[in-house]
Amino acid sequence: MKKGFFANKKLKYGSIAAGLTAAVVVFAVLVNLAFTALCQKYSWYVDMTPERLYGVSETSVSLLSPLENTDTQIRIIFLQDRDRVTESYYSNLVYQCAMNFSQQFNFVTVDFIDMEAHPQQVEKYRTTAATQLGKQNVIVENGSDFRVFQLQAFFYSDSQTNELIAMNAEYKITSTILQMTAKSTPIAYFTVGHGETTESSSLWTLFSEAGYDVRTIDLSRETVDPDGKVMIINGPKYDFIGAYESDGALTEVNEMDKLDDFMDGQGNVMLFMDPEATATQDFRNLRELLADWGIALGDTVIRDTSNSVSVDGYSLVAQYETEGLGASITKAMRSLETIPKTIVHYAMPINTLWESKSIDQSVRKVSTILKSYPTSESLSLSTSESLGTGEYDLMVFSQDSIYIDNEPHYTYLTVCGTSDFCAEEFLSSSAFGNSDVLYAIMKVMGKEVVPADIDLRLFEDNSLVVTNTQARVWTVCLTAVLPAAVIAVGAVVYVRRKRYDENEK
Amino acid sequence: MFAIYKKELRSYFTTPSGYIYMASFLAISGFLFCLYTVQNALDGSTSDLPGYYKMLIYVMTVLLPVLTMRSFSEEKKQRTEQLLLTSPVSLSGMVAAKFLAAYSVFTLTYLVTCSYYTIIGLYSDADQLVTTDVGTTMLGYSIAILLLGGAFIAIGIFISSLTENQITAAVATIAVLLLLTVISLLTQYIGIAPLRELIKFLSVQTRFVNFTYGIFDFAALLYYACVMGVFLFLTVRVYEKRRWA
Repeated sequence: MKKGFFANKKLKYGSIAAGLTAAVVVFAVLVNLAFTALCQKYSWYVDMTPERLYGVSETSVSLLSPLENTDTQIRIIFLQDRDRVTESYYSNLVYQCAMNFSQQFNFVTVDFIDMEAHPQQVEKYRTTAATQLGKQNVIVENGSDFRVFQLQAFFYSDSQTNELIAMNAEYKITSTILQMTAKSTPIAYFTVGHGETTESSSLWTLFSEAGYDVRTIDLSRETVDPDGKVMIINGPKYDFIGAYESDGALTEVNEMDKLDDFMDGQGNVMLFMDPEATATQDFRNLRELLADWGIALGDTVIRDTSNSVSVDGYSLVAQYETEGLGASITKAMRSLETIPKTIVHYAMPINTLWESKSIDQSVRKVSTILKSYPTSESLSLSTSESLGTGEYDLMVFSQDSIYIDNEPHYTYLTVCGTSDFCAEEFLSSSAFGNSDVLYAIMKVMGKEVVPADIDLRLFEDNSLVVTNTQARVWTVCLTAVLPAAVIAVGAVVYVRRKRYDENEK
Repeated sequence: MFAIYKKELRSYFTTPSGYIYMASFLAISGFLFCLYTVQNALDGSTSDLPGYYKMLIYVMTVLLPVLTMRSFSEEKKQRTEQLLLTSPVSLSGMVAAKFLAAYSVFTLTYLVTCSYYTIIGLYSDADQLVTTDVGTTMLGYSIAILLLGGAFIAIGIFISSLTENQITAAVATIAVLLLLTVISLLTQYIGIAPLRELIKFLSVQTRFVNFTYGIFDFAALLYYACVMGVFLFLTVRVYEKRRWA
């Protein structure tokens, strides 16, 4: 008879039991490890947020799908380990957004470099000796081209409290990928030499973030690059140089010719004009250009104390045009449940000379985008005397359409009666629709690098509106009344049971 | 099995332990909910539901052992476990019955706390563009908390089966649950990424954090269910050993 280890029944069954126990525990651990890894890899989760913070919109999918099965390889790199990235709510949001992109598009991958443990791997991203890279940076790389972002760049903050109120990571990543993979980056020029506001403006940042290569241009000395798509004249204080001086003499340089040539080559122009500048300067040459496009500058300033966000009535809440070509600019905004207000501060009226006109082989149509309410009044710039009340156009655009090789080509001239339309307090705040209007105009101008339909993902705000009394009452109810009721029931049950037991005895 | 379940459930409602647990849980959770919602509102802040639930987990680590400490310890102390071991009910059935009885009390108490969301429904600021979707939020958190509670109860029952002293069972359970909850705090001192990942894999707090981010994490739910299953299995194994010893 075989004797040995398994002859002892206790040892035999004990070993089997221990082995079974260990097997079950190991199986549970392995199943968990595998499922956790799969969930991380394939983003198997449900987004419970009201604004669907964790997801890629159809707009991004349609914009980036053409890059599938090409040589494009986009890396989204976080400069710390994955577990560190997911420790913070905000960095986790950006990480989840990046993972969604990698799930959706086969050319996008997400990588992690612990820059403290492997500093040499991030050296190539320090473009200059002064470049600061930190653990909060996120790098989007396409081959040798890359962009370095601070974590805050993926969020939108309240201009007054600096509190993060929305996420724009999807927009940021999509526009960066489009910008990096565009065959040529469209150029947005800010004219200089006439007292304009350029690099320091929020408008500059807006165009830059929209994927444009933003540059200044001095038309008196420089030529326009063929990739130039938009020219922005932001608050000029002096007129552009035309063919003739004021005394009739020929000028040595002709900025207006360059502007005309630019627009004839399907370049678009945006003009933000201040009323105070027109009060002191003639702007004869610019006015001539505008007249060719059916637009004239007013010589007054508009005030409306009934529809204004300022006490003095000059920060007008603009009315959106609902008919014609201009209505298409604000169509998406007007369809929102809460329509954002667009603010036009200290603006002159923009007048339409004609609605439609054929010029050579093209047709030009002028349309209003924004106008004031009927309660607004037009004031003299010099005396502030009221010169009339009614609706006044505040932002107008003129579309030139021409057929080239049987294909329609459009050029746009947009004119706004104030450069304060692009002030930081209005452009940076998600409470106002100023940036939405500008994005919509950029999209109409036909720039695919501007994914204008990707909305900000607002964070839910579960603020409560309670009084002190209400707060006190609820605190007492929940902390004392409910538990007291339970204790009372328990006491009653206990006493009754005790009496029952005594009676039984 | 149902008979054992009924007996256990009745014992929670005929002895002080069930009422003490329920009253304590309701008082502390009610206080925390008001602290993180209405008191925040008075201070000009927004409600902090993730903060409330994170604190609720700590409350569960301390109070759930009150429910589980007598599950098997008392049977051992009263020498009634022989009856259980020789009864026609399977060991799995017996363990499941005791687990379900404790879980029923926990679930009932937790469901009462869901009524606190009335405050959010009544006093939400209607001017905000995006407000809390109360139904979805409550559902997501509730599923996670209920599974986590089940895991904690299973651990408590297992520890209770190892000792005949209820206090020892309670203290040991609190220690183990606290360890599982706070272990992730160690990771800030660890530089080795795989080790940090392992610790976070085990930490119930780290597993729960995705729910506070608005993510319904299936991996976390599986983890809690597995912990529940493993510890109930281990409890059965403990009694298997005693039966055949």
